[in-house]
Order: sequence, then structure tokens, then C-alpha cells
Amino acid sequence: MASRKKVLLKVIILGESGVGKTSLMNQYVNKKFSNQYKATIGADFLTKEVLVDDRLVTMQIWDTAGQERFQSLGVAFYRGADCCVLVYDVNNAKSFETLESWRDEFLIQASPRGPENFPFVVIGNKIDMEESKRMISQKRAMAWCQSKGNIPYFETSAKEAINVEQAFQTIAKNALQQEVEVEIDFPDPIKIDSDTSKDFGCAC
Amino acid sequence: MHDAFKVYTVIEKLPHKIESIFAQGDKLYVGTLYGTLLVYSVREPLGQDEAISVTLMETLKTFSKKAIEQIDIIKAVGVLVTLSDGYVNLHDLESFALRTQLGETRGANLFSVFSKIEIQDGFPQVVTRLAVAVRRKVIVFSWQDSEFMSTKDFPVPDRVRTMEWVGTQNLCMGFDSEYALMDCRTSVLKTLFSPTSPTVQGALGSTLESTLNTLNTFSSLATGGLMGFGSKPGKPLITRLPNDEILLGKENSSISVGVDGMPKRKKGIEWSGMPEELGYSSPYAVAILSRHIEIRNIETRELVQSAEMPHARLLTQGKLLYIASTSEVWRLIPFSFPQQIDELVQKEEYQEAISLINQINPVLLDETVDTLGKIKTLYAHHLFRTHQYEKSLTLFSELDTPAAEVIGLYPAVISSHLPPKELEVVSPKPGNVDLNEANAKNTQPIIMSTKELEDAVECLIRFLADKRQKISKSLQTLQNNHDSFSYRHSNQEDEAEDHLQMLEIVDTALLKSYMMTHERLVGSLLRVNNHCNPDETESLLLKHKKYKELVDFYRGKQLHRKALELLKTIHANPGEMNGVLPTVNYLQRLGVDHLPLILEFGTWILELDPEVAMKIFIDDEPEIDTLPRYKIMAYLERLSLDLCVAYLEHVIHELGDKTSDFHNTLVVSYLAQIQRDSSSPDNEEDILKTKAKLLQFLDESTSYKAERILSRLPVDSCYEERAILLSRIGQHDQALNIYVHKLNNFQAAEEYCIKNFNSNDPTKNVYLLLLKVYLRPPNREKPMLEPALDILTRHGTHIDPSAVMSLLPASTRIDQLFKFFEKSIRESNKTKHMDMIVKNMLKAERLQTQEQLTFYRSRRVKITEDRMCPKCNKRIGNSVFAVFPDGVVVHYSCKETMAAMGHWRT
Repeated sequence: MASRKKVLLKVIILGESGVGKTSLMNQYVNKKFSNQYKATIGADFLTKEVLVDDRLVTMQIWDTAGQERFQSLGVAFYRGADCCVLVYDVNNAKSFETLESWRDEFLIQASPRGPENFPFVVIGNKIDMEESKRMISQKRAMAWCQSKGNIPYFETSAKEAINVEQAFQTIAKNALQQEVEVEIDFPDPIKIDSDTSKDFGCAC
Repeated sequence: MHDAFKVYTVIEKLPHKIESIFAQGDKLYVGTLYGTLLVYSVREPLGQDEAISVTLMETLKTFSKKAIEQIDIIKAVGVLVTLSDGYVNLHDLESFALRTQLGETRGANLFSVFSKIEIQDGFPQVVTRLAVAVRRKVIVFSWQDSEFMSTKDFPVPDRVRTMEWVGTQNLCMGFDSEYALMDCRTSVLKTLFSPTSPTVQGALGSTLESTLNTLNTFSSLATGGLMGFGSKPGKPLITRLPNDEILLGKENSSISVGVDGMPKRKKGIEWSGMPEELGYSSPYAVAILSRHIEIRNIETRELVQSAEMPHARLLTQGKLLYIASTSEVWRLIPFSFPQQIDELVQKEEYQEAISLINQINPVLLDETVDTLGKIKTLYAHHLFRTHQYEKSLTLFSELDTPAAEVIGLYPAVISSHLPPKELEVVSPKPGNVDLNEANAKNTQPIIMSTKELEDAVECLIRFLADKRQKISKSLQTLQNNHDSFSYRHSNQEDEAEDHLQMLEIVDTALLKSYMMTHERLVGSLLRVNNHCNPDETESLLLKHKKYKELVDFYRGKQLHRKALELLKTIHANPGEMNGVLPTVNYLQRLGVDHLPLILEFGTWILELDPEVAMKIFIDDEPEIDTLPRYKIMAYLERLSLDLCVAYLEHVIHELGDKTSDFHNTLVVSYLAQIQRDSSSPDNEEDILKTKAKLLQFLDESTSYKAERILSRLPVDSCYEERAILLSRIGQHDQALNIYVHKLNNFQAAEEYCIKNFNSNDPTKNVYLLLLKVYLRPPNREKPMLEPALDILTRHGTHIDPSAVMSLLPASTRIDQLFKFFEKSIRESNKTKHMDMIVKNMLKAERLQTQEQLTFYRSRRVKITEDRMCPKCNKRIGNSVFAVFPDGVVVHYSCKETMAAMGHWRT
């Protein structure tokens, strides 16, 4: 029986409502952006095959609803995640301040085996907006990331596709380090009929 | 293993050789080698200890001339179907008289009957199929209810060794070399697999075999046990299971297959030897092996029971399980299911018990569902006791077992916070299963090694994380319901209270678990919304010196005083909580609601490290902006002059506060600082700095009340400050007096004039005032002519010469005034010329205006007899009329309408 070993990385995107989680995912996977805001309901995922260190891996990127704050998604959803992406809007101070509680909640819900080393990536999105609207400086965000164990930090624009690719490449790379090899079995379908089947015709 | 069946001997030492048996109701039909049919009535014993009652009802010695090879019944038609002498015969079920011999079945070796109620044309009908294998074909006879419908022949590739209906349309057949499934509607024959594994069978291995390898673990080959039989091929065996499933024998295993020919279960049953016959008696599979019989659970494939039955070779299918050798017949009666489950639970074979409950019809059990949950709970406990923590806690999670019950399994380090009553009701007491014994085991503490405990705690963390979310969610639903109805349900409130209590138990256990295995997560838990028990948390964190987490916890619980007291206590300890900064950060986020606390705990840090501590009032945080400035000013004033100054400087300069009280206080504070510092000669520099700040502030700020401050100024110093203040209240002469007489700073006096000169207000001519100060000094001092002349020379143009003349002393030399006069005269000439130019220009303008007026006055219209109003087309005549600027004449009454139509806005 043939079985292909495949690496599947489960990535979960969290953050306040309206910071651009869905847009980031869409930009990365579909290279598309829409100005229209549509709140995500529950959770949805897209997959993308990525080459990480000469290794082809499948990234399963889970986009979540920022409004629900862990209410509707069960712990099972968070289990088995390989990387958690925390997104905030650089023009919205509150979305930055709540990053910590998103992180805390994630760690509690997901109960990862090694919470100390679990890979997070922080993304400050919407840097395409004018500088005067910016509320959180890069310095401040980086200081926070540093204090939480050197979380990689990226500033992106899902709208203008700035830095999105780079951020997700790091996400994939860090997730791969975390990954416990998930073996996906593709069993050959059990076929019991064979070419020996014959129609014996009507005996009448 | 447990006892599923009790074995009763029904017939012993029968002189005839038994060839076939069949059971229906309380009847047992036995066919012999010499064609005798024996009919027994078998009554099941009512109690456990009673013997089975067997009565021989009929002995039909001449039922057939040859051996009766197979017996069955078609109930709907009321016939006994037998196979004898190569024919299938139908006898009346009551009289046993031969009804028909199915002639076309000559040479038959096997038949199979199947009846099923089917809905046809909207009516339920009993559909009966009788398949008869005759050499290389199968003949199928069909009945609907008692009416014979048809026969149909199907050619088959080989002699059929065994066959069984799968539903009314599919016939599964076993040949020597393979199994096949035939659809009787299409006649399509689908080959399945061989009853013999390829190694034994040799070259026959087809691709199908490989698929079976996944199903069949080949234990027989692995052990080599079967190799002894060498060339003995597997006997094809087919048994019908419920739900159109069939069980096919393949050497030592039995594989279940669905009507589509696909395997139904992941693994086949492994028998301890090669079965001779295969049967099914819900929910067990029964196999006759060479020396004994085996009974296995189809689902778990576990051996349930085995019994010595030498020479057994026949068995009946279905509920009534009979097994026969050539001269003996045994009846296997199942123990009641509650009894079996009870036994399994006693033996701690919970998985078997659960599987059994899942398979049997619920009506056979009292309170099945309830019991199932309870047994599963027991199983989870059992798994825990046997150190299978992951499985155990996954099951607990699935069962939604109360958290207290699970936490109670852990040693005190995790479970000590449980209320004692929770511990008592750890295990449920099901109705019909006596679990006292199991209970007793549960309550014994489980001894774990450190490593084991850590594993177990790791699993518990997952369980608790799941639990806390479930409870929170249901609590929220409860509260939402609560909100949507204005009245309050008392039981709903109780329920919410229960939830909170559960959450406390869960969160506290989670905290302890984290403390044991993932200290880092302690902080996470305490920062998010949690229900950890405050006392437990406090003592635990203090014990582990987790001060930062404890502070976070206090903050979350709004226990600010405790947090601040803790911070104060530990500020001298080395580590991340050292110093005043943690307190500063804490106070910064408190906001106006906690002002008394901020002020109370601000004191010690302000005294210890004022520079850092001042950040509680002057940092750029939204909470700080909300603090009332008056109160903070008053507080700091009491505490320290310097801090007050620092705060006011921040409020005034950074935040741009214009409140005059702040400005006044700042000035007064500066003065106080100067006064304080002047007591010691070392503070020269500080004083200068303060003075500079004060002067600048007095100069720049417009919000202080000069009158008030003037009274506070010391009489014998601060002349400059006084001068600024005097100028603010318009006392320019006094201010200038200070510059000239107190400070002897003529330049400053002159600058003062330049700054304060207002040409529009001649009554307050500061230059004249300065001149007066110079030339009319108080106390009959000598007039200061020099500076006065300087002023006249430089700013003489601003001063009225006549006023100057009256001020100058008579002794002034005229040449000293030359420059003044020259400038003055030039200035007055310049003014005069300027005025003349303006006068003439105005005159010209007036003439122009007059000319224009004349032009407009000269305009006229002539109203003749014929002049018509363009609006109403009537003559103007003697009526009042109006003229538009473009000369159009209309009736006066038509003017508005005309204008409204857009004709020339008047």
C-alpha cells in the first residue's frame, strides 16, 4: 500500500475585528484585495503549497472571526496548530493592546506541548495608510515582540501587497520547525471488483 | 472474557447421525443421515438453575430416503424446505406432507432462504427468495407473501460451496477459490476474494489479494501456525449479519463485507484456528473450530467465550443458537444483557461492555443510555487507574464529566482546592449495575511517579482548557437569556452561580497544573478573564515567588490595594519587580476611579525615586489624562515643591492648560523655590535657573493674575518680576520706575517702552512716562537728563514736543535738543504732507462720485400714449410704473412678477 508522507502546517490567524486578517490571507493565497469589509463568521481556511528550505509543505491557513474572541471555536480548533499569527492594525491602538490577551487565550486554549517555544508571528497591518494616522510605532511593536520572547515582527499592507509574502514565508518556516510530522495516509481505495467480473447473461 | 451464553445439552447420544439442524420458535428440527426428521419442542429454562425441557414431538422415519442435508422454513408459505437426495423439497409445516418436489433442482447441493418485508405498490409484502445451487448454476425461486412468483436461473463459474442472501437482491456465494457477490437484477457477478491466502493457494493471487492484506493481519502466517496445514485450503464460509452485512471466512479470519462488496470494518476477526463453521447470534460471531467453539464480539473482535465441544460440526444462525455434533445437540442461551454487562464491569472490561451496549437493541436493557454513560465514566476512571491518562481524559472530555470528579483523581497538589463534598460524589451510582466494588477502587488514591504525574497533568490541562471554555460558553448563554428577560429566574441565577463555582474549580486546577508543568502559562491564565480562587492563587503564587503574575491576577480581580501593597513589599527584592517602575506602571493604568489609591501609593515611590515616579502623572497614557489636575496639584504641593513645579510645568507647557490657578501656583512655587534656595549660598545656580524660568514664564504666560502675585512678591527683591507684573496691570510708570531707579537698567526700560508702546492710545504714552521718570524723579533727586535725551533722540517722534518742552528743565542746552527737534519737525512735516495728499485724493474721489450721481440722475424714460407694459401688454398710461436698470418700463404692480421671471434683479 502506498502512502505519501506530507507535511501539513496548520496556521491560525488571530486579532481584533477589522485588522485585516482575511485580507492578509486572501492577498497571500489569492493575490487579491477588496476594500469592502465583510466580517468573517466562525472560521475559514485556505491552503497553499509553499517551498520551505527545499521542502514542499502545505500550509493550511485558518482565518478566524475577530469579533467572537474564542467563543464559538472549540479548543479542538486550536489544537494542533503549528504557528499562530497575531495581527493588529498599526492605526488602531486598541488592536495592538489586545494582542497580549489574544496570545494568552491562544496558549490556554491550544495547550501546545511546549508553550515556551510555540511560534508566534506578529503582523502590523495597514501601513499603507497615511503616517499621521499611525498610532503604534514600529519601535513600540518591536519592543513588545521582544519582551514576549523575540516574536518575529512584520509590517504589512494587505492592500498593496507589501511584505505579505515575506511574513508568510517566515510563518511557514517557523511552523515547520514546530511541526510534528503529520502523516496523511492516502490509502488506495479498496477495490474488490476486478476484471474477472463477468456478465453471465440471462439464463432464460 | 465473560460468559455470554450458558450451554445446555439438548440431545445426547442420538442413535441417528445428525446431518442438519434448524430451529424456529421453540421447535428444533433435526435431519439425519438416513432421512429421518426429528422435531423437538425445546422450552427455555425460566431460571438460572432450572434444566432445559426437551420433548420429542415427531419422528418422521420415512421423511426421505436419503440423508437430509439441509433444513429451513418459509414461514409465509408455511413450508419446510429440505435438501435431500439432490432435490429441494417443500413439505407442509404442520402435517409434514410433501407439497412439491422442485424438479428443476435435480443435482442440488445447497440452498439458501431469505425473507424480508418490503413495501411494494404501497403495501408491505413478505418477499421470499429461495436460491438453490445446482452444479454450475443457481436457481432462484421467488414468493410474494404466500404466492409463488417466478424462477430464474443464473449460471455460475464453479460449484457453489456455500451461499447466503444479502438483502433480497444480492446473493453472496463461496466457491472453492473465491467469494463472489451476484446482483440478481443484473446477473452481474462481482468477485471478492479468495478464502485462502495467496501463499497457501499458490499462483492464484490476484490484485485483490493485496487489498485484503490491509484487512487481514496475517497472524496465521506470522505465527506460522497454519503452515502445518500446508496445502489445506480455506473453506468458504458465509454468515449473514444485520444491516446487509456479511461475514466471510478467510482461513483464520473473518472479514465483513457490505452489499457493495466493500469491507465494512477496518479489521477482520481473528480466530484462534481455522473455523469449520461460522455463525452469528446477535451481537456475537460464533465459530466452530476443530476442538472447541469460539464466541467473539464482532465490534471489538475480542474473544468473549470459548467452550469445549468436540466433534461439533453444525450450527444454527440467529437468535436461537444450536450447535450439533453427529449425535449431540447443544443449546446456547445468552445471559441477559444487563447480567453480561454487569459481569464485564466487574471484570473491568469496560470496552467490551460499552461495545455490547452499543450493539444491542436498547429495549433489552433498562435505562441503557444512562448506563452507557456511567460505564464509560467507569472506563475512563479505569483508564486513569491504569495510567492511560490521555485516553482517560479524552473520554472524560467526551462524556463531559464534571471537572471536580476528574480533578479529584489527582493528588492534593492539584486537587486540594476541591470542596470536600465534591470528593464524596466522585462516582455515579447507576441503577442496574452494581458498581460499589468499582467505586471502592476509585476512591483509593492513585500513586504516580513524578514523570507520570506530569504526563497526567499535561492531559488534564487539555481537559480543563476544554472545560473552561464549555462552561464559559454556557454561562454566557445563560446570562444572555438573563438579559433578554427583564424578570429574574431564581433557578437561572442558581445555575449561573453553579457555573461560576465550576469555573473556579476548573481555573484553579488549571493554574496549579500550569504551575507544575508550564510555569510560563501561569501569567497567561491570570491575565485573561479567569475565575481562579483568590486565596489559593495568592498562596500558590507567593510560594513560588511569582509576584508579577500575582500582580496581574490582582489587577484582573480589581484587588488593586493588594497588588500595590505587594509591589511595595517586594520593591527591594532583586529581579524584574525591583524598584518603583512596576508600581509606576501599575498606577499609570488605574485611571481616575482609583485616584485615592494612586495618591496613597504614589507617595512612597515619589519619595524614593521622584524622577521615575512622576511618570504616574506626566506620562503619555490615556488614563493619566483623565486624572483631575487640581487634586494632583494639591497633593504634590503638600508632598514636595519641586514635584509640584514639575507637574505644573508639564500641565502648562506640554498639555497647554490655561487655567489661571495653575499659572498662579506655578509662579508662586517658583518664588517659593527661590526663597527656599536663597537660604544657602550653594544654590546660586539653582536660583538663577529658577529665576530665568520664572521671568520667561511671567513674560510668556497670559493666564496668571498679576494683582494676586504682586502682593506675594518680596518687597526688597524680584524687581524685574515686579516690573513685568506691573506692566500686566498697566502700571507702566511704576514698572519704568523700577527699571530706572531700582535696576538702573536704561536699556531694559527702553525695551519695555518699545514693547509696550501703543500709538493708538496716546493717553498712555510709555515714552512720555519714561521721560517723566527720568526728568521728574521722586524725592527731589537730580533729573536724569542724559538718558532722557537719548530717548528723545531715538524715539522722539512718538512724543508730543509740547509735552516734552514742559518736562525739560530750563537749563537744557538747545543744541542737545537739536536732533530731537530735527526729527520732530521732519516728522510733523511728513505727517502734514501726508495729510495733504490724503486730503486731495479724497477731494478727487468726491468729485468722481458727484459726476456719477449726476449721470444716474440724468436718466429718464418717456411714457407716451403707446408705451405698453411688456408684462401685461397693457398701456402704462397714468399708472405708477417701475423702470428696470436696462430701461424696461413695467407697471409698478408688474415689477415683482417681471423680476421673478428673471428680468434684471432690482
